[in-house]
Amino acid sequence: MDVVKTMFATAEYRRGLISNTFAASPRRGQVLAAKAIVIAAVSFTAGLVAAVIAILLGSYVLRANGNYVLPANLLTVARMAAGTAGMLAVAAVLALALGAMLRRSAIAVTVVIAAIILPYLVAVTNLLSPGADNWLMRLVPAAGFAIQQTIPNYPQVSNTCTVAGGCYPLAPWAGFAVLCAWAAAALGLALVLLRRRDA
Amino acid sequence: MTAALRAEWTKLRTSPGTAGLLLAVVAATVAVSAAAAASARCPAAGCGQDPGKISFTGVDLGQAAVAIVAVLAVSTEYSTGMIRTTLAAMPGRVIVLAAKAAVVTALVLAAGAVAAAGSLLAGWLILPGRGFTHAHGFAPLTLTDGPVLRAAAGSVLYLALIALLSLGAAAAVRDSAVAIGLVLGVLYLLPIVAAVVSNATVQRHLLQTAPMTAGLNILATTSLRSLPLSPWQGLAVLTAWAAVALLAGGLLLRVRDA
Repeated sequence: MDVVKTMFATAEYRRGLISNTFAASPRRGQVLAAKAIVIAAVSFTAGLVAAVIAILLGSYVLRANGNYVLPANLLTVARMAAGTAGMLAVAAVLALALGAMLRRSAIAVTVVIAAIILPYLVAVTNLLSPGADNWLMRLVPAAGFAIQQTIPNYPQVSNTCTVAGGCYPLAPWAGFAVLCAWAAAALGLALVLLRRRDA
Repeated sequence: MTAALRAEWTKLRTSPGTAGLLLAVVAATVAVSAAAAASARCPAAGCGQDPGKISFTGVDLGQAAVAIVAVLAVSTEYSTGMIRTTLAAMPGRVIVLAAKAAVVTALVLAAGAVAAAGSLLAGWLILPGRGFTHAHGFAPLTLTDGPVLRAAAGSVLYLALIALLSLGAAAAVRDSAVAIGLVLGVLYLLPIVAAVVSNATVQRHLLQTAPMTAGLNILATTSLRSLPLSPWQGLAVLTAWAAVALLAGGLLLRVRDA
């Protein structure tokens, strides 16, 4: 179930990201703030629609193919849908801030992809040792993917926690907070640079 | 062609960012390779790790910088309007693209060679301390070892092919943000899809056809039989991707209004 949603999320994200970075040529602080709000709202709405469709479609296809879908209560599913949308919104703000900071769309897009998709790829494909993977997914903006976890972690069960298995090293909201912190830091830095620099 | 090559060399050499991006290729590749080597462990013989693959892990990140260099070589001409001057001076559009491809490939080959040498050095220095020793069945990483030489040379070729793929994509779509998004999407998203697909047959086919997973087979030095493709077959798949991208870019450049 997680699988389908994650794929939708990343694909959707990339599309959102590109149009956002396009728009990222703001003049000064207020413009940047306005842009951030608009982009976050648009991405959140688009992400929510995509996430709900993905969840419904994903669980339907999985059940139709005779898979057992682990039961998750409505609150968890709602958290995942809203969280995925929120993740897209915050990631869009991060992309905007980087676009304003770097002022070259190609480099900004690459940095965002390297910060969000690449660590996820590294973690999913078990490129590094599990310990290093977990540290990576704690520190980089890709930690936001944790919001999509639906399986609870039981400390007494010694299953190895791997991203490929749908388990993230941080609690859902903690992971989301890491992404938010990155976005806030980038936005702050972008504001400072925008004020100081010649447009 | 000589004039076209000279023109492209002057443009690429004098545009801001080229040197910085090539440095970034080297720095990103070597840094990630060293980090991967430092986080690797081989506690006992038969640990199933591939020291060659670990030493060149940085190519995963370095290719992103390579893609930027190649995309910008084409798309900045469109964003600044330089392309009109270029095509007025050199009406042979395919020659322009070929010259761009030659110059970018030469620069990426040079940067890639430095990056590969740095990565190999990092692996050679770090890996023996991580359990990759004679006692555990590993020879030290040297270029005199056939598979290691293949991995080192292959990583340089891989980066050059990524540059050609990006160049073709940029010539086709003409916008830097869209082009880089497209290239990195194809490179990074397909392996994620492949990793999370549960059907083994579909997964194997995805691993064989995605440009990144197929091309990176060239880095393997041990247990080649378990790979979805042999190293050179994998690089051939990536070559096909690059050829298709260049062909599409060249055709569109030829038939379209600039």
